[in-house]
Amino acid sequence: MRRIPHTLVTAMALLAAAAPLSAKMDLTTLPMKDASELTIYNSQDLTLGRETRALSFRKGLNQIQFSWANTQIDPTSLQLDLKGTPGLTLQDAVYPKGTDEVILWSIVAEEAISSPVEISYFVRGLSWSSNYVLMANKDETAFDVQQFTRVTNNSGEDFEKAHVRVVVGDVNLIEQLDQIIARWKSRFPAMQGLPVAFRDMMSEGGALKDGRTELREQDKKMTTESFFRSDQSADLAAAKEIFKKAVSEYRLFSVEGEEDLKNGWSKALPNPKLTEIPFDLSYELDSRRYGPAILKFYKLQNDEKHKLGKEVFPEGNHYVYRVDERGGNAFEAVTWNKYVPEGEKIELNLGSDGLVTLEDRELSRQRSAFAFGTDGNRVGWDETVERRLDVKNSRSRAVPFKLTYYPAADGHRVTANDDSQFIPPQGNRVADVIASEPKHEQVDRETIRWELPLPAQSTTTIKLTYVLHYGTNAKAN
Amino acid sequence: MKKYFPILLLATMSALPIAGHARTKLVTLPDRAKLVTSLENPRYTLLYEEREIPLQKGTNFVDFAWNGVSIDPNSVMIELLTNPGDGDTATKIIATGFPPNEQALTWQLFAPEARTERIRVSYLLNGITQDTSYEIRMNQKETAGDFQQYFRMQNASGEDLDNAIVRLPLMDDLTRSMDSGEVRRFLASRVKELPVRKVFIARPGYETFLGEDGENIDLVYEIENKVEAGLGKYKLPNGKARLYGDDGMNSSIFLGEDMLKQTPPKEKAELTLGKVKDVVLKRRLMKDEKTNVRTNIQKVPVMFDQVRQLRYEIENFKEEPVTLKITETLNGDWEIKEITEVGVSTERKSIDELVISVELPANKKGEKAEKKVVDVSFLVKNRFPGEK
Repeated sequence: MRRIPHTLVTAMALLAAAAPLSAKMDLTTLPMKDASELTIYNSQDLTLGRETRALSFRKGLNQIQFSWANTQIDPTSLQLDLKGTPGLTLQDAVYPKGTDEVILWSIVAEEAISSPVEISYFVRGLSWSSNYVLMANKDETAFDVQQFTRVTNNSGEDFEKAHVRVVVGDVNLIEQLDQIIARWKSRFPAMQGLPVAFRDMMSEGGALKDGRTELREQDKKMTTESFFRSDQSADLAAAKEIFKKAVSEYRLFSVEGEEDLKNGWSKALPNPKLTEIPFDLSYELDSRRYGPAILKFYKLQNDEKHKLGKEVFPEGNHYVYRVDERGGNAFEAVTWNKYVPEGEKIELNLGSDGLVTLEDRELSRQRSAFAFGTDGNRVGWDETVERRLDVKNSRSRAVPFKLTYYPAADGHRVTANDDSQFIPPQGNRVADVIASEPKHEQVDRETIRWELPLPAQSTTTIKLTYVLHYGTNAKAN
Repeated sequence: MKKYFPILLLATMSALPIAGHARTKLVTLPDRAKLVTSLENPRYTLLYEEREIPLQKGTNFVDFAWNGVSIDPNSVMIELLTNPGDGDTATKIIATGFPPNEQALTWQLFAPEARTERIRVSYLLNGITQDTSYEIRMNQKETAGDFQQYFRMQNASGEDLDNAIVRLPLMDDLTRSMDSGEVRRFLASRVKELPVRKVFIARPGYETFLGEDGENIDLVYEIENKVEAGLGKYKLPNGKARLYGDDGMNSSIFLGEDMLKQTPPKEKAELTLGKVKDVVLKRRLMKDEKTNVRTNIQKVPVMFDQVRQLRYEIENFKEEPVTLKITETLNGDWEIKEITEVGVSTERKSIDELVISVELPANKKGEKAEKKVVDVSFLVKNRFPGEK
């Protein structure tokens, strides 16, 4: 893929106070950005860019030109903030005809003055994500976890010395930026790039042209050092701190200091490692929630009891390892987990390792309690079902097992009644558990559950008897 | 074939002054001190390597590139083994950079002093697959066999593994070199005299009666994954099992093969190898009657009881006694009403499965084989029309 050169350039045109807008303009390269800030959302392809520069204004009408060729900026989002400087008035903003990537702001200054201005815009192509690396101990009782905040820049723009902030939360957009940008560009289907007047400006002044050339050369030479350039001003003796704060219904993570984000690059920044976080190992079968396999879980809560509870955990992939008995690491699974606020449960689904299995056998099924209609056809009956569930733990350690069972759905289904004279009862089947060993917990009308310790390399047997009510028996029950 | 492998490079930057410094050194690192290929997780192959790297005081960059191999870039992890932690003397991981359009990343490390750091780099590598197979060489009496469990590893990853420690779930670590494109098989475990039980099993269809043509009888060998038998430490994974028989002439014959289904400790595995010709089973439906028929007002049955009588005629032409197991597939509310033959045992495994075991005496040489007749009557209660 072709690298998109650094394309965000700004120019300021200064006019004499009383002079009308002239074809002959002074062109001045802008001073360097005093500060820039990127606030990156992950729920939408949206970044709020903000940059501050100190400008000198002459008395009268001043114009500031801002262009963004090859950068995916939402033109409708561009804002210029004069920071409340007395004597400065923003008159209007013009998107000149013939180009779709330029804006001109007109500012009237009562007197010559220097003032900071802030330009803000929405830009596409930057994203961030969280990845987690978990290292469980040999016994799978506790883990160390480290979160990495990874920022990726595919915006077409190189951002240098930017203060990077990322936002956790779902922000609503009534229109996606790519739609806005596409519609904006379609206003000028026949014209590409800057109009002649602006090209002349650049040639005459030279600064922009040269600047662009220079930036391309920088791109070609971009190396590891230039990517990490902002970190070279002084050796970083520790990973940067990531400050976390609640703002409205969002969580804002701010990376300490400044970052260089070159187009095309990603950068992963480690958060402090959290150590010896206790968790519960669990094997579970719940066919409705997870399907037919027995899954392995690491479970805990984002609270003080688990040495957590001080921060939220954004959604992300969790790479789960375990310290191997033979030294080194063993890989368990990669699993995605949702956003976890303080106090919320954390359930890491590590998938099936095949070490705990269940054999579910129906031992008997007896029909009874028949009900007949006035025409002599069956309208209801009961079936008493006996089952034996053998849970086998192949691991060399005891593990807890949670079985969530739906007798009316999980059990053996009766074959269809094809008696043409008989209309079978529709959709009525209700289960009543009448015996279980070990004793089950009734979760709701349809659901029962066992939580059992499974000794190492053992078979644990569950005996279950329930009655299924069909037809009118189900209605009456 | 061009061979690819991950490359680890080290670039070190002096601490100060910084401005304008380009990469000052580019050093190919010393050989891997240790390379481990962990196949403990059947779904993922984890590779990790350990190296001693020289770090200068200040900021250091370590590049890791993997052209030509498929690695999950998010899984690439560096661990500091010599000076880990958060203290002032620890080596620190500052950030990780991922360049565009490259299979590479760069770690930025900080060392408070010039030192040698042992690092472990791990990653999930695609293209290495594994499977298990078994070989059992039976003794002449077919009472025990030399059980060998093999682990096969196929390296199509693009990475050559030189002197790699191969970590398998069921055995001690092995050190092997394995080029990309190679397949290697390891002997994972062996039990020289694993007890084996040879059984004959017929699995007739519930509604299919072959009469004079006779039912198929499977030749089955049973093994148990238990400590007393020399196994029982681990679950035996799925895998193809090939059995060989001692032909008594210092050679062997191939008896057949079957998939051994995963078998937890203390469980039994069945291997079906072929068909038995020297035992004949004829299965006949002698009676199929409806009783207690209840009808609606149009005299159409709405439910009934069913009585079925099956007859098994069995002949053993072998000069040794055998046990024949007949697995009947049933359903509904059934029970055995009558069984006519002594020496026959039954086991109700589930509502779907009844196993009838019949002991057959040895056939005396030169004599006509004795025919054993077993009658079994089933009562199936409260059947609905249309149910099989």
